[in-house]
Amino acid sequence: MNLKILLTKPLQQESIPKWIIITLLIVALLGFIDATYLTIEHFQNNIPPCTTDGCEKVLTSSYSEVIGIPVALLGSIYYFTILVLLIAYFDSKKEILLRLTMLLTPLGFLASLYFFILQAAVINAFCQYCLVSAVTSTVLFVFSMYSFAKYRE
Amino acid sequence: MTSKRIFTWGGFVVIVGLIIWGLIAAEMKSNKEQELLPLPEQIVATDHIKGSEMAPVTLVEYGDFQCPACQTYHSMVEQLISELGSSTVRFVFRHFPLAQHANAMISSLAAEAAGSQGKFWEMYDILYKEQREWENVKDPTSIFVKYAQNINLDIEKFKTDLTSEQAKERIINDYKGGVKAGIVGTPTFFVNGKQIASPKSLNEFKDIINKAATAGVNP
Repeated sequence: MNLKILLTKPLQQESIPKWIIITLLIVALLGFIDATYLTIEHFQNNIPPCTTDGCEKVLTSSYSEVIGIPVALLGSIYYFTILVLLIAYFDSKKEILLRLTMLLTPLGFLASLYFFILQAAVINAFCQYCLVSAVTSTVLFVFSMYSFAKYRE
Repeated sequence: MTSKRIFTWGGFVVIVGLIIWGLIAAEMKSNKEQELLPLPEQIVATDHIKGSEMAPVTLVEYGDFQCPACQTYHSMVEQLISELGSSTVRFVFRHFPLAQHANAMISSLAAEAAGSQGKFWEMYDILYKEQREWENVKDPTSIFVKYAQNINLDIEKFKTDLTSEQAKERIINDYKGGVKAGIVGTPTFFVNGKQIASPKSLNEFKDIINKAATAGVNP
């Protein structure tokens, strides 16, 4: 898909059902809660203990930080950005905002895919909080691409 | 700004604020109200014990050799004992191999196998210090044999003991005792028979031990 076309070609805005946008909002909110919880955990525990749920293997691995920034915090920021854009769209009804939101979702999806593969193939452990985020970012991505495909002129 | 805009953005800020505040509050509460368990099983002669029986403080750890947090605490406990002295603190280690750590059981067996030749603590130190080398290896036996050679164990006996049913039973007993008492993770520390919230630094750890030492009675 051509980025310029995606950004400039009008969506048939009135035909994008409101429930899709509300779903995006709710799912992004869930993702935000999940990622923020992990971020808080990260900063509260200097030494995260190993618990029977097995999350510590993932959360203490070298992949849990990118150049010193916890991945959970990046997730929080991602979902927060989506939320702000969606609220801004509700507020101003400027279509570009919705378009930007939807164009951001492949970023979250690809990051989730990468971390899913890492958990499965490299770390050999899954953390349910990370899986929740993988689900929410995939839902955001699928709904956005669906809207682009269906409601483009 | 119209009142609708104020309502939209105000509502958003309030909701995000409430979420963050709620998450932080829940996290603090769970830290504070963590139920501190009594020591599951009394200390017996067959336990792995380091330090004087007359020491005023007994520190018990339920640990897992493959747990990264336990590794961090291993060096902390090592420093703690060397600074406070084994006449102040007696240390007891019990196995708590977690299911998600594929090599936890075999590493506990390696420690037990060394223990049957009187070198439990030597193996214990190596396992923690070299955790990275063996944690994700499919079959770490040859690595453990190398450690056994380094501490001059009888290798044939060590290899046989690695598969000892008796040792396995002992490890499982340690684990079951912990589960029964409500332990959910590692490391879990007990000071003079009562669980402590895991200290976040060596100094915090020393304070806890010193306080227990002055409070006195060792059960």
